[in-house]
Amino acid sequence: MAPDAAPGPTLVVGYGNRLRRDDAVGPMAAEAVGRRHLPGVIAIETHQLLPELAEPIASARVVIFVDALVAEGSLDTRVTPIGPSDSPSPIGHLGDPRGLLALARDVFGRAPVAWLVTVPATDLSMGEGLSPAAESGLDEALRRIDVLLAVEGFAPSPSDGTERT
Amino acid sequence: MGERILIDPVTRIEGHAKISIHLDDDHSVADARFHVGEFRGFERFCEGRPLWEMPGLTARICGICPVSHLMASAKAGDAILAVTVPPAAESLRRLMNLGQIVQSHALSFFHLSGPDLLLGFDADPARRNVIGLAKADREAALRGIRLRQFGQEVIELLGGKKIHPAWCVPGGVRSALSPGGRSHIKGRLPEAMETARYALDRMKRLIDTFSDETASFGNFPSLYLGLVAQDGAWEHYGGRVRVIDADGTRLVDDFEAQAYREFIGEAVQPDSYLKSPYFRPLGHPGGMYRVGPLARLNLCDRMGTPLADAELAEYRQRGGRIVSSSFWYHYARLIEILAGIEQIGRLIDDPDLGSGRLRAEAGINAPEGVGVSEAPRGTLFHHYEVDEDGLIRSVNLIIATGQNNLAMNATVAQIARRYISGPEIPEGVLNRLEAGIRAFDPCLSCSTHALGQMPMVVRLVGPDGSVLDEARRD
Repeated sequence: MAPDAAPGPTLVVGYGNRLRRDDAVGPMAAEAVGRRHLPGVIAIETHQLLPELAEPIASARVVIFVDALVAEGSLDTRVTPIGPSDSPSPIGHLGDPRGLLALARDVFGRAPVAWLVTVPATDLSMGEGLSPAAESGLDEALRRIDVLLAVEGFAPSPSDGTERT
Repeated sequence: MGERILIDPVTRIEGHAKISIHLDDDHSVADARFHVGEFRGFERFCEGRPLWEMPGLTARICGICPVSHLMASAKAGDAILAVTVPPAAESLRRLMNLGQIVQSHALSFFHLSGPDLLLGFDADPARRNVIGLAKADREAALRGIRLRQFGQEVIELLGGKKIHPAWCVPGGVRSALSPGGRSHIKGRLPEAMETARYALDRMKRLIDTFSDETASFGNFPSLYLGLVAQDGAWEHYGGRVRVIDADGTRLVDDFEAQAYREFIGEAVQPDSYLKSPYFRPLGHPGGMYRVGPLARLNLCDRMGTPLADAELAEYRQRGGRIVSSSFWYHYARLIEILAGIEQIGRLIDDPDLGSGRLRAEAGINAPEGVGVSEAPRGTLFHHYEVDEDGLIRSVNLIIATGQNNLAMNATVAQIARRYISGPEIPEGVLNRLEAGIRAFDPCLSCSTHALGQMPMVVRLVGPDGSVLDEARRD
């Protein structure tokens, strides 16, 4: 089923473990977006991607996933359009947003337009606090999310800045 | 020297593990083991922490069953404070634990084992997963998602969040259920009930078609251990610990949690971080026992709610008064979902649920305490010793998955003997070995640690120790 422009909200889903340093960058990004209370934008902070997220995803106009990605050479924050994938492991510790999109499509009838924002992670040890790479990656991720939201007509101008924890 | 087949790791369980099968020279199965080669160490790094932090700390052991640790930890704290928890707080704790049982069992049945049960063990591995299930059986996938969501909502409405809510505390709970939360749960009950009955109907149609799996997936005599209520009904939070043998005979009088060391010993295997508890009076390994849904249904006299009692009667009519096949964990799990939803319905209508005090305040009144509750996977013990300031001196956690460890080894060996007669391992057999373990719904995050990810590797090791063959499933 092709994605369509449903009238639902835009979801920003940030996922990761807040006690594994850079892995917290997804939930931190969602938290920052959520604090702005943008009309039509719902931010979800979650430890892991779970199957029950398929329902709100299916009714969203656009979904922006935010995740940490182990840095292998490049320290760039990346934005990638993603679609449903039929590969396994959409749940549990190995949550895959593409699998979740497939679940939304197959169970709830619709997979929306989706983007994956990945922030470079260089420190996934136990504890709190981001590495310098993830710290600047988070700033860049929030700027890139603003651009995506602006395209959807939700975001204030980037110069308004973003609250951070 | 025999050969060894290594399956590393088992997929679709919470955490990672591996199975090794030891073959004789004639390629018959000599023995089999379920290993956990990862280590967590919660018992050590909790030392020195204040007692009041323990529910929140130990809830972090697992993202799937944090509520179970909250319950057992808070109850250990109750014992150290030497307080009686206010009635409203106990009802709220029970409500959350029931939400936990419903959501975890729904995950196990619909998402982890559902692809095997509903698509078949020999289905194409590429589609034998929850996405494949959604394509082939949309209604089952939809109902599974909604039922798990219901259980998660019960937890979130009470604790403020779905995962790791630090809501239980020694002496009670932090907050009541709001009127809006109560109304929301009541509104979701009919659909949850309908799904529980749908799943049971599906299972009852399926169970007869799995006669081979019933016979060979961990079908052996063992002891059973778990909580029962004072009147013998199914219990998940209070009551006493009961131990029965394979014929249903009680081996000892039902005992309180603090007596656990008298009856439970803990053996250690050199190749696994998963401890192997056993019933101490019968020694190791003769004291092998099972915990969890299968055990709980064998132990109780009745479920205590009308619909679940009717289902228990039919279950026993089909399987006998004591069901010995681990494959029936799946069936037992569904009856527990039904009982859980019925009990949530009762509790949610209790006018005293949100009234009165929610926490008994006290200082340190005992040097140690043991808390016990039923996690979805089985009985969970937390034992703490503290100093006079309430700082933790020692921690012992006896986890459901560990208590099933000896039985899981026996299950793997039984399946291997049934399906393997030489060094060739067809895909169907691989999946049956994993599915045999999954019947127990093991949670390795709880029992040790789940750090990192390994691909699945199957190795055949010849008599001289060399690897004869290797298959990899990334």
